[in-house]
Amino acid sequence: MRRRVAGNLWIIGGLLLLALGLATGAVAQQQKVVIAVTSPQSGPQAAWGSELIRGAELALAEYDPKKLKFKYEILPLDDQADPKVGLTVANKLKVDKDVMGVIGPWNSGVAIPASPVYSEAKLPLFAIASDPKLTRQGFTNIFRTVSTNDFQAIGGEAYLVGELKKKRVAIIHDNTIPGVTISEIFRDMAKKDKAEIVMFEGVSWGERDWSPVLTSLKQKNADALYLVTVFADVALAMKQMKDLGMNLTVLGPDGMYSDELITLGGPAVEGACATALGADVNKLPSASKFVSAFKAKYNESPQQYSVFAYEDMHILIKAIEKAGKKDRAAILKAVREVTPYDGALGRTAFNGRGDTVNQVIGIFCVKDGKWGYLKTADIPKDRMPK
Amino acid sequence: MEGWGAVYLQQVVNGLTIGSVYALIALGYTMVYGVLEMINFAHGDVFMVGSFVGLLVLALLAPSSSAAAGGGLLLVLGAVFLGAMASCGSLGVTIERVAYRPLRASSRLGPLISALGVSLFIQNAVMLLVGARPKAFPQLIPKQLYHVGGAVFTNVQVIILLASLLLMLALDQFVRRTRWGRAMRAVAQDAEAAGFMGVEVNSVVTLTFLLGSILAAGAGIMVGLYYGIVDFFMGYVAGLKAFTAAVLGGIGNLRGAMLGGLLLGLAESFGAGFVGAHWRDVIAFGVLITVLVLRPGGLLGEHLPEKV
Repeated sequence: MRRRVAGNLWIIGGLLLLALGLATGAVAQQQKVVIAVTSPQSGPQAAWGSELIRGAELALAEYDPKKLKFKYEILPLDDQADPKVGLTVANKLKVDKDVMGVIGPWNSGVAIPASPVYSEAKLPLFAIASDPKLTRQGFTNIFRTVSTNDFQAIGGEAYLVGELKKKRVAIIHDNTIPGVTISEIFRDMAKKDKAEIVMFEGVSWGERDWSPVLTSLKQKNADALYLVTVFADVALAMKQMKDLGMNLTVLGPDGMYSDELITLGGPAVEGACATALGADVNKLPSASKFVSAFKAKYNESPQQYSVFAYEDMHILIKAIEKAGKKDRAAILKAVREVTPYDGALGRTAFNGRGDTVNQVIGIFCVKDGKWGYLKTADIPKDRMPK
Repeated sequence: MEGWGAVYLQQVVNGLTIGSVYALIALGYTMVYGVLEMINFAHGDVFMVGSFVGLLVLALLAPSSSAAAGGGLLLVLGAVFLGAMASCGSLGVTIERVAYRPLRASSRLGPLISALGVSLFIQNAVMLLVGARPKAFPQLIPKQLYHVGGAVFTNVQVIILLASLLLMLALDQFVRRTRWGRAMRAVAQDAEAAGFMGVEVNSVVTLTFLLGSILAAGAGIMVGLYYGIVDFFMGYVAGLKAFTAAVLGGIGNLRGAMLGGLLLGLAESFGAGFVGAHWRDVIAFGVLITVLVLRPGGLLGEHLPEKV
């Protein structure tokens, strides 16, 4: 069965190539421009990575090919979420004369080591990776429509302390560098907003017995817990909180935003909330056109990240058309000229580093055994990136 | 939570619960060391397999994975424990036959390396069979909270503590009072001489692995019930801690393993609770080092074969 499908795929692929060949013959005066999409397209993260290709394809389909100055092609490249493969991909794209823009990488661990190569190649890199460090290396070719991880802390704090008015907050992180970084940003913001930090502790991944640290938390009369760890550990912690008769608001960054949390935690994780990069795209008014197009084409609702690739593709096409020539430096300059751009994510404008000044953090909570979208965090204006 | 007394009591409850699990696993390390003077590093993974067999039995018995009612619950629990103990018992015996017995005459490092290999093999086999993601262990026993003196504990914790103590007592009496127990003690003292006196050394070794693995399976089920989450890597840390507990009490010494397990659990919960969560392991291993410096044989004295 699988073999037959594969065989069919070859035939379809061949026909597509033939059609492409005929098409290029028809519009020979249009030069070819390639936009690469690099992300994990195989392995455990393939579902996330492949969504980017869909987003880019949808954006391209909204243009009439005859009215464009160039003939655009999307080139999917599987970086396998592996930094080494990501470097190979970057070096390959660097020397490919037709590549004028890149969407991805999806993983920060892939994007950061590959970024010097892309910078040297002057390739516009629209990263989906969310580690703040990526745009703080002084490169001028990196742009992000996606929100960054530091804003998970800022947005989470805006909701927990700013909106829910929690006064005694405990913070437990997972002892990883990103975990500690996010926790420290959250702590500093919470202190600014006059909340008391009653605990700041680390519990490493895989620790099963949370009871000692929870016992000491229980004594501190906290009214909220900012929990920065992976879903399995959040499930363990919340189960044991229940066993200790504890009941406080739990919020954390998107490491816990997974259906597995509910599978593992059951009723104990009811009421837990997580921040995520971006709103629920299916409930975002500005993205309604994108969502209906996505559903029409792929017969399912878009997940979290495809909308960013869609937006990136639009900005790239607009910039390349504006530059009017296959010159990467000119296109980089044009990206600045075609933004602010009003699209599915609302108004996207890039600051000096290349991060969007429209940082959107969605709050999702477990309600009746399901993740539900609550709202976007109201981040104070003065905390948005300058 | 009221004053320090309540916190103190709560940490004792926390420590005894996890400590009794350490003790159960530690017994396997200590018994094997007693008769063979080798550290069976695959023992933690036998404990992990116990959890997963329990999960499998549950899936077969109650596809809905909802808690059975009343009398049914005891039957299901019994089946889960028996299934896990039987499978782990045979797994332990097989490991000894396949990976350790052929190397018994070789250098002391041979069986140790072999044990590490077995450990990796079991971990990866389970990972390939069930996947790398953590699995939920159904909460068979409807949880009830008891509030005593400001501390809270659950019926599951009571069951774990009682069941562990019962298993330990049974083992202790078995080794002290039965013919097989006497044979085990004889082999531990001097395998060669015991062999001359008609003790079947190989049968005794098999029995040792069987008993140790049965206890580890029991611990595996209890951990599943207590935390509600199991994964293929859980045996690694638990095994390391249990081995530490065995050394703490005096390797080769059964009552030492029980004491070591409970003490290590308490040291961890007090360390994590009063000093800080990230100090947990520092304190646990600090206790171990301190004890070994002051009493190289562990708390209750190492079991050393009397070579005359």
